[in-house]
Amino acid sequence: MRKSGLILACLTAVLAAACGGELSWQTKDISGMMPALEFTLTSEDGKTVTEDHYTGNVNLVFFGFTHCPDICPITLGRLRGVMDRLPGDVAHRVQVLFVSVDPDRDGPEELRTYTDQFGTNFIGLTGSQEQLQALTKRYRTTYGYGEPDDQGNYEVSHGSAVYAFDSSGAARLLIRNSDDVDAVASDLEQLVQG
Amino acid sequence: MKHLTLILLLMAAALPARAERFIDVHDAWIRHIPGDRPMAGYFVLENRGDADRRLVGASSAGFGAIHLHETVDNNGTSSMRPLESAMVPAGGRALFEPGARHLMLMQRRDALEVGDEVVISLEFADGGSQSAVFTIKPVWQE
Repeated sequence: MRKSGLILACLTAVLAAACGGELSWQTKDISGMMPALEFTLTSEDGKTVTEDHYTGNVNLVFFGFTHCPDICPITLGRLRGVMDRLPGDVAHRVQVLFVSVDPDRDGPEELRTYTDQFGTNFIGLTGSQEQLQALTKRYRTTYGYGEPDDQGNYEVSHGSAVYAFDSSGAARLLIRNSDDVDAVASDLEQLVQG
Repeated sequence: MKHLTLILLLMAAALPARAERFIDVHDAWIRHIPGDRPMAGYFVLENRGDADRRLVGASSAGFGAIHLHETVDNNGTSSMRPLESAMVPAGGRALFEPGARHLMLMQRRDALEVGDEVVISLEFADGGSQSAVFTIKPVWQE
């Protein structure tokens, strides 16, 4: 009797979670754990922009640099794959904000050429060291520069996760490269419609 | 005498290949990045021989410099570091794949487009080398 009561309580809890408005996510839910989207940066058309320019859509923020041959194009390529899986009307409401933490090499022109390869919803942004530090600190991530080689090429370390913000600018999900592309697409569809 | 010369020539031609023929390179490709930015090369090495082989470098007429590289993720921060060498155990494989070990291809000699092919020579600690054709693929290739 006691056992069946416990099962009933569990079932009720599961149903409440599934049907009671509590959305479930396959990527990491960071609602309430990170502050809302806020920045002042330079866009790929050379203009100073703030978050107001982009809120209204779901925004995916990723920190990187264009001289990054491996992990940055992998992450952006996966997001391109996610966009391809979303229904057209949903994909139109999702933007990828690629924030370069390497402003010395990534001017607006370089950023536009680079992000255009992934799709029209991919937008390049960068800023001064102060602006970039304010933004990375806000999302508890870091970046740094290695020693230049004899050709002047240097490494840049940067956060590897993608932050998803809903249309109001609230931080909602943390997406990692280990997350399945279909799972990310399903979460983003839910975020756009939610 | 003529025959002997021919045999000697054939033997000489076969010599450098002897140490190399047990290494297969497949799935060799390069992620295209526009401009003169570094690109990453990926491949699978398969050692069919009975001796371990150690990859120590790579060279190509198409690039001024090539380094062995590795992407590492440390508590959510991604960075790259040079790799000294990579062991290909006898009868085993070594993977150079996206997000992990790769060739860092720098100072391209020619503009490269998706679909182009570049020959890269992979060099081993025992002095042997193995050339492979790498195909240029789109930047977003998964």
